[in-house]
Amino acid sequence: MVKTKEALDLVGRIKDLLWEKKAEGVVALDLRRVSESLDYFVLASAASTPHLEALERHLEEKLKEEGLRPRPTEGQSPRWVVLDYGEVVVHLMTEEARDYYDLEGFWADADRI
Amino acid sequence: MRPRPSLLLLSLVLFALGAVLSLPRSQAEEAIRPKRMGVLPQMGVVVAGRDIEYCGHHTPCGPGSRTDTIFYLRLIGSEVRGVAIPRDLFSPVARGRINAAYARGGAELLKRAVEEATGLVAERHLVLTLESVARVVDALGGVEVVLERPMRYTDRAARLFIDFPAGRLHLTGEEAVKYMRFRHDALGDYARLDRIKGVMGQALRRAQNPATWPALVLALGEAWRELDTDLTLEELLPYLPSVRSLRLSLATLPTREGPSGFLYVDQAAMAAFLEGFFGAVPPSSPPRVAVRLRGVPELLAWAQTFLAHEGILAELEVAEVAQSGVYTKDPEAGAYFADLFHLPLLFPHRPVAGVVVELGQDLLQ
Repeated sequence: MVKTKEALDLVGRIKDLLWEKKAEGVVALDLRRVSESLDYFVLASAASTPHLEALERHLEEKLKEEGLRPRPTEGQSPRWVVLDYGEVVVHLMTEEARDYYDLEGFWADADRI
Repeated sequence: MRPRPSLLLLSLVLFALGAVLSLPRSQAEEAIRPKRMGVLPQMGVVVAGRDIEYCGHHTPCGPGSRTDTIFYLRLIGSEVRGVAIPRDLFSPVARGRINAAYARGGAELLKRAVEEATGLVAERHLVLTLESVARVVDALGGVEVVLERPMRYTDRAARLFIDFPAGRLHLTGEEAVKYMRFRHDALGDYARLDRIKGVMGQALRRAQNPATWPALVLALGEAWRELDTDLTLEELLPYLPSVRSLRLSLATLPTREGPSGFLYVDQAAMAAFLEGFFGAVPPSSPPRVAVRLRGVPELLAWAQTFLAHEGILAELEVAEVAQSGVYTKDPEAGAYFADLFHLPLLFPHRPVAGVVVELGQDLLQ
């Protein structure tokens, strides 16, 4: 249960950091009921590729100050950046990519938090 | 980190996911967004990998017309059971080795040859190229394998140069394809099919990690264009919501050696195999069978406690394990343990006593 609280705190912190940099459509999904292997997703849109990079940098730097580093990921797409913080996975996407891949639609039955 | 024995995705559904995520959606497609209503239909799909074509001496020039890896996959609800078919199997309809069926009569003849060999209905086909497989494996960050002895082979004509040392290796897509193509050891094609099964299980596990998705959908979008398939998105969409709970079991078709180096379906073993493999349902109580846990110490302790709750005593073996899975020749007991641990059920060609549950680093993310 402690883990869940920690993860929820992290979700809240990530949302705040994304809002600070004017991310759009910030949504957090609780996937625990609908997936055996995924816990929380935070999704956010960027207005442009430079905005996407700025969001990624801001999030990585601020969380690094708090001792959190994302797990290494394979080749990223210029439209979609994933930061994997274990139980919390952040998907930063351009608006076009967000519509295109529609992760929220795919996990429509997950709880929003 | 808590162990995460996660459920596996199916390569076929992955390709479908890639295709769905890579293609622009029309209004009509939006209307059939995945919403599962009732039971998923069963479907038999022949999945095959094309080898390399030569346009001259020592000159490979793209995907070939023979298929050197053939799987029959049966989608049963959210479960996938696959049978690997040795390429040297004699096929009466193809009038030769089954790997030549695709060259002689395209996908339709390949499907007929597989139906003839397995006695199972093949509704659809999905034929991959080596490049598309390598691209997808790269997008997943490669695969890890453990070699007991060095793997060396040179085929200048095929431009196939394999030189892997023994031990734990991290393979790129291109290297993984070489590893899966290698068949020059004592068990030949059978060992090759076991290696492919192992890589498939590991690749599917990696594909479940969201961190791989951006790279994966790009690779799948490109790979989809190289595929020869009669699967349609309308058929595949209903399976998408179940990718989260798919279970994968893979076995090899029982065969016997015959004249001229051909293999023939072992009809005597076939009936028991089909009944055991496709009819197996996990028993509700623990099966009376010897269970061995192999893997990294921290997982062994966890799994031992977990099994003790079920009233099962297991033998422990500390070992380096590259990919987790349940290995057995007993379909019923295998189904029980695969279900319990949410791990792929693999029926290797090599002999296995009882049930061996292998727990590797891939579970400790």
